[in-house]
Amino acid sequence: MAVLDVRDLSVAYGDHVALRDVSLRIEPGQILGLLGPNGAGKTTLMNAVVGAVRPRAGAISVCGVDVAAHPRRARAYVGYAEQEIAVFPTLTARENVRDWAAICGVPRRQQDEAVAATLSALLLDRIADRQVRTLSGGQRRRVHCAMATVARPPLLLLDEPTVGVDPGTRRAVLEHVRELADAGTAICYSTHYLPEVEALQAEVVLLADGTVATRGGVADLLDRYGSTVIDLRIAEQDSDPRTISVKVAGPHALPAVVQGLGTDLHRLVGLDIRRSSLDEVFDRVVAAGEVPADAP
Amino acid sequence: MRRDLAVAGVLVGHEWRLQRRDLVPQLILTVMPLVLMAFLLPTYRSAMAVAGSAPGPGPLSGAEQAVPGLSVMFSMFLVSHVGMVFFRDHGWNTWNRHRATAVPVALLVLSKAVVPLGLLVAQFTVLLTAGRVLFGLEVRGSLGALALVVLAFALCLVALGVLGFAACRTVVQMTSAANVLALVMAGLGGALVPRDLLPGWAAPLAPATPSYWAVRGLQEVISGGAGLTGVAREIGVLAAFAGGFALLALLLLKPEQRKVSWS
Repeated sequence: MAVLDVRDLSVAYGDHVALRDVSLRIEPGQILGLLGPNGAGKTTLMNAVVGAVRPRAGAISVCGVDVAAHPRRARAYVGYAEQEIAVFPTLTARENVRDWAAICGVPRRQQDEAVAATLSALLLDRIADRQVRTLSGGQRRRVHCAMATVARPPLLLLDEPTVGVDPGTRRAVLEHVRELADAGTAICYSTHYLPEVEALQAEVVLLADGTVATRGGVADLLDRYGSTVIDLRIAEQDSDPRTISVKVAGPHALPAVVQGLGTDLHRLVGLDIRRSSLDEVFDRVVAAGEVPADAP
Repeated sequence: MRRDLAVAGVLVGHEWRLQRRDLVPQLILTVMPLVLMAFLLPTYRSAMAVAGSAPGPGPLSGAEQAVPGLSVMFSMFLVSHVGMVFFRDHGWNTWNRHRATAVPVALLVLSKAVVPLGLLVAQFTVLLTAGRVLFGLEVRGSLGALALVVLAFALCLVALGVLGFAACRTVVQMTSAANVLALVMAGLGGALVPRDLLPGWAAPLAPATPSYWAVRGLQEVISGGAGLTGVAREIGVLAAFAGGFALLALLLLKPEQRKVSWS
């Protein structure tokens, strides 16, 4: 059974349609990277999952519980870290995480262990007893994430959890997310940092204008929408080598390209193979009018 | 039900941890009426003598009006602090964080309101005790009846604070309205001046305010020597006010509404 099952979801704010016929599923242990430009509907989708916005059409179930019919029961399965940091600044980091564990129903005798493990995973041990108001933005964001994960919910919604954090913090967050997924948590991870999606080996759903523009694994998307370019450097008699760029279907085309040089082969002094990044795929799919005709 | 009670206990503890870090406003609103009592005691004594107010046997000290009146007035200034509990959560984005949990909004609001209720009761307790120790206030009636009047009025003020949160979109709207309301209600209710000295136009309006019933109930017990049955009507009216405010708050509260907290 999918932990999160979204079927034909449409959400509108007045006349503005924020989501249109969106469907997706997340299985236990799966990480779904939710990508899309600003205003694509990523946050609206997460808010709909916790019942904070009412869908105009479609259905959402969490662990088999229909969110519209039983929002409270469904929310019991969800940990949600919104994009905006939501912490209690006058409490310490430990108090924030401990109180949230208690509010989310972690049994009292398990709270110490759960809090300590979560603080440690997010590198918060040394600052655990400082009031959150005295912490840096990145540290506050880690406390914010820790509050969402401490109860080890079956479904975790993380909305841009690494905005404005340093590389070390980003690595800690990503490692924590990976560990949670390995332990069976289903994770919906919204981000603009595409390398994070690659690092998490996440399945990708790319939203654009409130609809699913494309979906698939990172490698699959690179194959479908990316391109490979082979740069050949050819020696010239009286000048610097010139570069010939050949766009090919993939690296496997290299022998054919090299053989195609014919009598110039002996003048080949170097070559590079350049593959599209996920960023380029993202730009290409999102850009208006450039969605390939075979896009699913 | 057991799970809800457990969560309510957790939320009350959580709210107390948040509030105990900054009790300065409550402290100020407890000290200020004591300072005013010291200044106004002779004035109240004279005023009550002129008006012929004799709430009980024995000589008038002025404390019969100063202590219950100023306690009621300054407790009303805490109404905006009740609303601030919820506006504060909007400012920290934690209101939405709470809403994304399995805790129902009604339970969340009730649990968070317990702490300001306790602080209001504590404020009254300190003021009445200080009134006795410092200004010779003598409670002739039942302490149980006094406690119930205080509790009913505190409930009424908490419900009014929640109503302020539900009805106002910004914290400035709420604090402005609460301060004006506190002064008007204190004046009309006989908390500022003895009821017998209220202007003619104000006297008929007085019973429409909870402060009137609170001052009346407190004075009935303190000076009139009333027991529980003697102030049952006052307690009943205050409970009705509390229920009315709570019902109105329930009708106006839109949990999904974005409130503006700091401007």
